[in-house]
Amino acid sequence: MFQFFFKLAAAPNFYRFSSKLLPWLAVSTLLVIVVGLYHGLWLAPADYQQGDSYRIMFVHVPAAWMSMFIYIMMAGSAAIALIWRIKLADLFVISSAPIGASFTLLALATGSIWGKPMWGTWWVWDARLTSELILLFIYVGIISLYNAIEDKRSAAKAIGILTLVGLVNIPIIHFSVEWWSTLHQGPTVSKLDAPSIHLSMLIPLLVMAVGFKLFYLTIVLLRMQNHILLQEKNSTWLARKADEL
Amino acid sequence: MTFEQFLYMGGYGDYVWSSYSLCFIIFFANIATAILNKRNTIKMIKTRLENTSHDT
Repeated sequence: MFQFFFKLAAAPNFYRFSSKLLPWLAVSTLLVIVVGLYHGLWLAPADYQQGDSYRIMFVHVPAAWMSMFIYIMMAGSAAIALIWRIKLADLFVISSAPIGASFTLLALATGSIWGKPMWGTWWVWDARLTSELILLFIYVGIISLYNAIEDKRSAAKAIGILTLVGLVNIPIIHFSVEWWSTLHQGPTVSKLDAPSIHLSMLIPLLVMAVGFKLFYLTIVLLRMQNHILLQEKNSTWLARKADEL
Repeated sequence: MTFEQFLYMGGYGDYVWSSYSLCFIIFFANIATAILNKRNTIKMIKTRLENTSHDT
C-alpha cells in the first residue's frame, strides 16, 4: 500500500496515472452535474417563502463549500510539503489556488444576486460576507506571491507558509453566522440530528456538491500535470515520452 | 410546468438565470485555462526538444 503511494508520488508515475483517470473523471463530473441541475431546476418544488429564487442555492452553497474545502485541502497539502518535502504536495497547493479563487468569486457573486431579491441589498459588510471576501483576497495573494518569486522552489515554500497562516480565516467564515448577528442564514445542512431542509431540496444540493468536487478534482489534476511538465522540462523521461504527450 | 413558466422562475428568472450563467462562465474559464496552459507547455517542451536535437 505504502509502496504504491511512494511510486505514485514520483512525477512520471503520477502523470501517467492521472492521464488514465482524467477522462473518467470528466465524464462522471458532467453526468453528476446534469443530474443535479435536472433535480434542482426542474424536479424540486418552489420554496414556500422564497419562491423559485432559492434555486440559486444549488450553485451558491456548493461554491461556498468548495471555497473552504479547497482551502483546507491546500493547507493540509502545504503542511505535508513543508514537513516531508514532497514536491507533488507543493504542486497540489499552487494548482488548487486558482480553482479555489474562482469558486470563492462564484459564491460571492451568486450570494449577491440572491441577496438582492431576498434581503433587498446586493451587499452588507457583515461577518459572513466580509470573511468570505477576505478568503478571496488570500487566494489572490497566494497566486500573486507564487508568480512574483522567480525561483519556483522558494515560491512553493512561501505560498505554503502563507496558506497555513491564512487557515485562521476558515473557522471564522464557518462560525461567523453564529458568532455575530447577520442577514445570512445559519447552517441548515450540517445540523447532524435533523437537517432543516426538505429532502427534495437536499438531494439536488448534495448531488451538486458532489459534482463540484468531481469538477475540482478534474481541473486540479489537469493543472498539476501542467506544473509537472513545467518542472520536469529538462528530465529524460519527458524527452523519451514527448511523442505521447 | 410549461417551458415559459420554467424560464420565468416565479418572477425570479433574472436572478436565477444570471446566477447559473455565472456558474457556467466560471466552470468554462476553469476548463479553458487548464487545457490551454497544458497545451502551451507541451508545445514549448516539443520545440525545445526539437531545437536540442538539431544541435547535437
